[in-house]
Amino acid sequence: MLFNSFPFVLLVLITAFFYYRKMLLNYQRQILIISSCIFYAYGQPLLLALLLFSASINSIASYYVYFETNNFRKKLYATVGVVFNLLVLMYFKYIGLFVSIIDSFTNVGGIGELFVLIPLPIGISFYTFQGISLVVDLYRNNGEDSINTWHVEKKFSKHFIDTVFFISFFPQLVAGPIVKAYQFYPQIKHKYFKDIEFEKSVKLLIVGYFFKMVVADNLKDQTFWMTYPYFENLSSLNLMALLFGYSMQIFADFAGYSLIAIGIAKLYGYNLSRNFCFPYIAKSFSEFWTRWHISLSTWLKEYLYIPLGGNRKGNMKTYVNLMLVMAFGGLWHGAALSYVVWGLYHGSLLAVERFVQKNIIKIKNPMFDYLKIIFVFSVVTIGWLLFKLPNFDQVILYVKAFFENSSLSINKLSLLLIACYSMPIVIYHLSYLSYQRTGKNYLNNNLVYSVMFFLIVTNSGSSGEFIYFQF
Amino acid sequence: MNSFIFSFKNIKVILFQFCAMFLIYNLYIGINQPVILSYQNQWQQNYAAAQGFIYDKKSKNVIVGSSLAARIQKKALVVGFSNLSFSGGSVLTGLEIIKRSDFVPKKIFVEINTIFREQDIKMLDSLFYPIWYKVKNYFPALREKNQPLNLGLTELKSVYGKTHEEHMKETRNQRVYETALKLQKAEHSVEQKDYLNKLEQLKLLLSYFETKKSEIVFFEMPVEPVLTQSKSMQHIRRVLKRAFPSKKVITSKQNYNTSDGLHLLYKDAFAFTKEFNKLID
Repeated sequence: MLFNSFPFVLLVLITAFFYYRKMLLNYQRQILIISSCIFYAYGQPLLLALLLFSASINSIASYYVYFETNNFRKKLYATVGVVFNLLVLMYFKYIGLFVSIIDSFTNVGGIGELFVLIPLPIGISFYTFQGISLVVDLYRNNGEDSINTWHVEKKFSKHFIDTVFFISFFPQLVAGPIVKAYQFYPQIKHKYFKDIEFEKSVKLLIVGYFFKMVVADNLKDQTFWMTYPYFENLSSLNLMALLFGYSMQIFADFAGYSLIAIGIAKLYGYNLSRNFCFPYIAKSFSEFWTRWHISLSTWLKEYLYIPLGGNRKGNMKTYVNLMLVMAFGGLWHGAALSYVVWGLYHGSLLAVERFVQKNIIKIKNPMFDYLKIIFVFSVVTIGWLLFKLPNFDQVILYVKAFFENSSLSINKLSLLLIACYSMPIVIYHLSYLSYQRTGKNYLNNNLVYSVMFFLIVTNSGSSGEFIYFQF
Repeated sequence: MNSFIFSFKNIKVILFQFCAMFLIYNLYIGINQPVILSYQNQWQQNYAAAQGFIYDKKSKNVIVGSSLAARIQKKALVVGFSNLSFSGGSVLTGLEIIKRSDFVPKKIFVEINTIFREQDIKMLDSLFYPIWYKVKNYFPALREKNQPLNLGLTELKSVYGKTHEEHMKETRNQRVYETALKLQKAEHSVEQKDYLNKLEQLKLLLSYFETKKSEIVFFEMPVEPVLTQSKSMQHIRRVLKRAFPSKKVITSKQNYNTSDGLHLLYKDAFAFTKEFNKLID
């Protein structure tokens, strides 16, 4: 079910209607679970069983992890929980890739075709990561002094409902933000209509839908021509503009989704963590990853990078850890080698940056800061090519076409449209830079929201799925 | 509670301003009925053509086809034609749109070059979405054609765009032509396999119109000679002859230049349209 569809709007409204009935106050979680099941089953009815199965296993594993007093058994339950989530993810998402790699080495052929039939459950990468977070958080945090501690319900049935709710909560089910258990569980309690932050919620929804329907969906119709073989006959300038447009599109699409998810969760009284914080004003690659897909980068940091040793075991180990974590992060996005390459690309950027920052004198100049922003944005944008063209050969062809097609005629209309639809994202980032300097947010104005709302209704692009749904 | 009331006040202002803008824009579109000359992309152009047919004046003759027949020049075409040819689209989509619009044309001209292309269900669902379909009838600002940016682009085009004479002088880019033709040759070298269900769909739609007394005319858009004689085109002609033995296919007698092997250059499209007028006479 798409966020920008009538059935979804209807689902949100009907859910809210029942959710805030006084007589149903004790059943709020159950109401949201039912809505989440409808939301998920709308597109993939059979795979709802997998989601519920996954939630059930996670609730059992986490329950035993929390209440087990024997350390060995506690560790065992936690390991079982983590391994279960990883196996589910590997089977449904990566089996095709593994088998095709084996196929190419053994030359047997045909085995891969069997696995092509396995459907990719929407949101699997998100909800398995949340499952891991639940088990690991409870394994780590049973001390009273930890800020990440919450109390698991003694009665299993209550914990079970909490867990199914946590895993399946529909605003963030299919594309995040990835909610960590310690952020979500303490929020589970009775919610009242009078406590809804309406203004915040509505504003988030307007910006989110504007990013998705006006910016991303319109840019999508331009960046369609980046696919093979269409790009082969485009001029160098158009190829560059398309890549820039795709960079804007992927941000608008994903940030838009996250804002809608956060806005809708707020309608039910839940605060989801921020997923984007003006990533294209980052002055370094490490800063970029504190601003882009924050819920994933913090997940990777907390559950992978730090357990691997982080930066505590010398420079060489730190570089290796960075590469490993980013390669894993790349693979998380999709079962294709180009995603691993994308992850390694970012991993090496982080490693090189770390080396340079340690060994080269820092220049303190405001102009240099702007140059750094442009540099980081450009390098990140080049990396998106690996997202748009998951076939690595096509990436090479695109780059080749960029250098060879300078004499081809320029499609001015395409340039103009990319500029028009990228403008809101550029202004959005620039206004934040100005806010940092002056403390004034010129965009937080009712008229700006009204204009965005007007453009959502009158100037949306053709409806398309969110890019991150495929992950 | 206070914060709730305060919050709602701002929402009211946003809603009020939105409603004002929306109503003014609707009035502007409704009263001025601006002619849109430029679209943002081919999909939007497809939607605009379809909505133009659904909500505005319908002509007694309708062309259904793909991007090939979309090149037919309205300026050169005899009056009384609607063109439901969609870039990347299918004749099945065009026929379904006519059917769902409850309209019975006198003649339907069906392009055969891509006749077994899949019907665009997404487009049909979007065009005829319950309630929304009716709402768009009363609020023209909601139609794709009337997007605010299209008004701006039309203004720009009327100032900086090419004139008819300039379009007539356009030549093809030889590199683009050769690359695209190579791909087209490969694509046309095999017969289409999954055509049976589309043929069934076509039979159903055509018999629906024939029972309503519409006349169906097949025509073939001119493409590069090497593609005209390709395996896939020969296969299409064979299948159609078997399925509709009584129907003739109108074909051009002349050779035209294309930009990519398939799509006619502007001046050639103009010349073909004139020939088309004679062929259908």
